[in-house]
Amino acid sequence: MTERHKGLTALAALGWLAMAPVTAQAQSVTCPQGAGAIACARPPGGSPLPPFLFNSSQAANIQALQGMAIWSGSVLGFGNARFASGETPQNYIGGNIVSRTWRDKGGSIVTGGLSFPGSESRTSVQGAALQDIYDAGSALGLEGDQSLYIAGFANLADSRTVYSADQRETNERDLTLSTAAAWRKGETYLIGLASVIRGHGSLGDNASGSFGRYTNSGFNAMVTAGRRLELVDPAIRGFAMSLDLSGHVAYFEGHSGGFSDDRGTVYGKGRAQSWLGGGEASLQFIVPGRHWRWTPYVGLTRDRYLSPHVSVDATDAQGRIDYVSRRSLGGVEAGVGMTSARDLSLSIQAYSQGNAELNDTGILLSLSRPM
Amino acid sequence: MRRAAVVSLMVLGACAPVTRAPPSAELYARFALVSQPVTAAGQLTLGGRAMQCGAAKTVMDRALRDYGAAIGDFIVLNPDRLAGAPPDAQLWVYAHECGHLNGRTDEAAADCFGVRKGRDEGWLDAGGLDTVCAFVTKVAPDHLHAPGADRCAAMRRCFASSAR
Repeated sequence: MTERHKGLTALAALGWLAMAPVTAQAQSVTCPQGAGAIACARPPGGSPLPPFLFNSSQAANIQALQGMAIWSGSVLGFGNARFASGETPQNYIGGNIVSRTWRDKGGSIVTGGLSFPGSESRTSVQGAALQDIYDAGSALGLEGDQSLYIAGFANLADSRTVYSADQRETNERDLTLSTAAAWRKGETYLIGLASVIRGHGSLGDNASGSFGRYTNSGFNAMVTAGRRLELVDPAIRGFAMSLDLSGHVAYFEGHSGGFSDDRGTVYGKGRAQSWLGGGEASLQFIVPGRHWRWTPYVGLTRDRYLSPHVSVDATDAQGRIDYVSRRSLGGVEAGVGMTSARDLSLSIQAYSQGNAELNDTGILLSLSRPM
Repeated sequence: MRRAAVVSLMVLGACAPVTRAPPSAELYARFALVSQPVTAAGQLTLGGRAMQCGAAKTVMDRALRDYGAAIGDFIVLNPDRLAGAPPDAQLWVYAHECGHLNGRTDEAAADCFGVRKGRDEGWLDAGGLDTVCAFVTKVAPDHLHAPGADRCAAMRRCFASSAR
């Protein structure tokens, strides 16, 4: 999953933010001096940092865009082509499905000057996406070794989070709309993406039988710069092997609405925002077969949240609960794609990313075809 | 993190640009999954006529997004698209791409090279030029290619000129 936009759709997972009740219901708990009732009650806050990789199907779309804009044209030498009538601009439609699991030890919750462990949780996600990628470089008549693709994505994801320390769970449905552009000059490329997120969720407490609904919203943006270094001359080996090095910077911001459940418990508004920086190194192969071009790859990723801020409004915890967690994430990923002579593409990708407190694993299936 | 980012940027910046020659006809055919063998120079037949462009080989690629293209030192033709064009236009497409291989990087110059090649080799007369004009008029203009009427007018001037 080269240069995935780690963390760009994080706020679709803001539901957990809404799970800190403004007026805690654990009245039976004896709270230590100085600790608000909320912190004492250990609200199921989940990770101090929201699951930045929430919408992995978007990453698959970026992968498709990157493969189209960065790899094929470069290796096949279309950049040197001159056409009889002007290359026909190509439009690619496609989609993907994703299955993902996010495990979180809960990090720490800070309120009233004290720190408490959060609740462990497990989130499972099933998502699907539609995409349209347009060969704008051909339409604009870009010459030489340049290409430009623009794309639109619509991702829908359902998720379920279960908190092990409490008999609570959230269920969410989030829609993410994104636009992206990928520009390549020679072996250097630049990718930009921006997304808006709208969603809704519900919180159920199996112990008390309470139930409530809330809304999510957010946006994010990312810029990636990378370079492809050819390691094997395809003219000699019969296949292409390249090292792709890239770095990315992203910003995200999201909100979850406050709400009251059917037992009258009031839950505060949640906010999350952060910059994210990271990099990826991946080995990319292009192996021509009889009917398909195969494109296996393996990659290593490293990401770090920069100045993250996640909080929930709370009336009796000095107005706010803050969350703290490890900031760095390391990951591995691998996948293989196959493309026909007519540019029909199929791919499967798997990844795992995390640290001592959280782990995110997923598998994605993608399909695209020209139209 | 900032240090890592700076180091990453330095690594990216320090990498020497990859300069690779354009692919050969055989390599292009392999990666483009073209099953038909590459046609050697002088072995190509279009519209019942043998065509040649120096030592240039020809690849028949049904997935090419145009009638023809010039890449490196070879020509790529889309046989499916060409089948829908009149024979004179097929020959002209090939000659146009031959123009690119002979240093006519500009599209108008390649057009001109094509009609003069046809005239000099005897496969394009005034009637054939009308056919080419009718064909090119249907082609949508783009950033590099002028509207068909303009291309046609320019080609008529080239055809009338004695220069090659």
